[in-house]
Amino acid sequence: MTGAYSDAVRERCREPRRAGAWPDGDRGVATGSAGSLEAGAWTRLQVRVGADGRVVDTRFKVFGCSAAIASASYVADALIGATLAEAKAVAAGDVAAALDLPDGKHAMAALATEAARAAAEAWAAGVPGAALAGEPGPGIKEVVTS
Amino acid sequence: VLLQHGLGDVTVNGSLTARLPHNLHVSFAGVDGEALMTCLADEVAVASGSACTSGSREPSHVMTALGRGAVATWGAVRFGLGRGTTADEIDRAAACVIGHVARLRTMSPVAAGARA
Repeated sequence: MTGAYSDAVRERCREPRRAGAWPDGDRGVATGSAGSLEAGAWTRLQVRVGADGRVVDTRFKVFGCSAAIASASYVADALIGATLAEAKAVAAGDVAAALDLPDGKHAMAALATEAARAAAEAWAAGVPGAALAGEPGPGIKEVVTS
Repeated sequence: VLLQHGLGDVTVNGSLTARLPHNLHVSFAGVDGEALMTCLADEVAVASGSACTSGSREPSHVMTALGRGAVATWGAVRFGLGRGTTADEIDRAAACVIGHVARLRTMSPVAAGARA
């Protein structure tokens, strides 16, 4: 399988950008996840929202194959500067095309975009504007999709 | 021994004595074997039994028969020695594997001590 991957996938697998996690309760952070460990692929994306209502930083955790890692890293990069609507609209097809994923691996791009959408839903539902402006608030909220 | 000492949470799959002497099949907890194979591609040739073609791959029936959980199954990698493989090459391969597994584990949701 490795030989079928593009340089973009191999590079992100070896040197993933934005890997890591912020602690639960971190103010201004919304979290979304998708997939399951038992099924062999799971992705979690966290977005930190700025006072202007745009994503200022992201982190991801992932368990899965090279395509899952590359997709999570790519989406974490793509979300920088995104509005809520833009975060919800990241398309799996665009991710798969950018990474030149093999046909059988497009599900891994979909996993990353599902996690992004879940994070956006958590952002919409639970990250208050007051917290985004620097006031205390509940901060983190997580939406999990199957 | 090098891998276990350098990483922890490394499991040899199958018997330590009743096996082919040139074959090592191990699971690195919290890491996907196929992803590790991609990272190692330019340095060490290994095989992974966990290549997936969709979001719902099936665990190896052999690993399942050995009583290993799904997450351990995804982390399995097979190393093979050739007639010309040297001790120095094994040491270099182990160092390379340790580095990549440690980095991949920083991305993993499977916490240290909870790996299976």
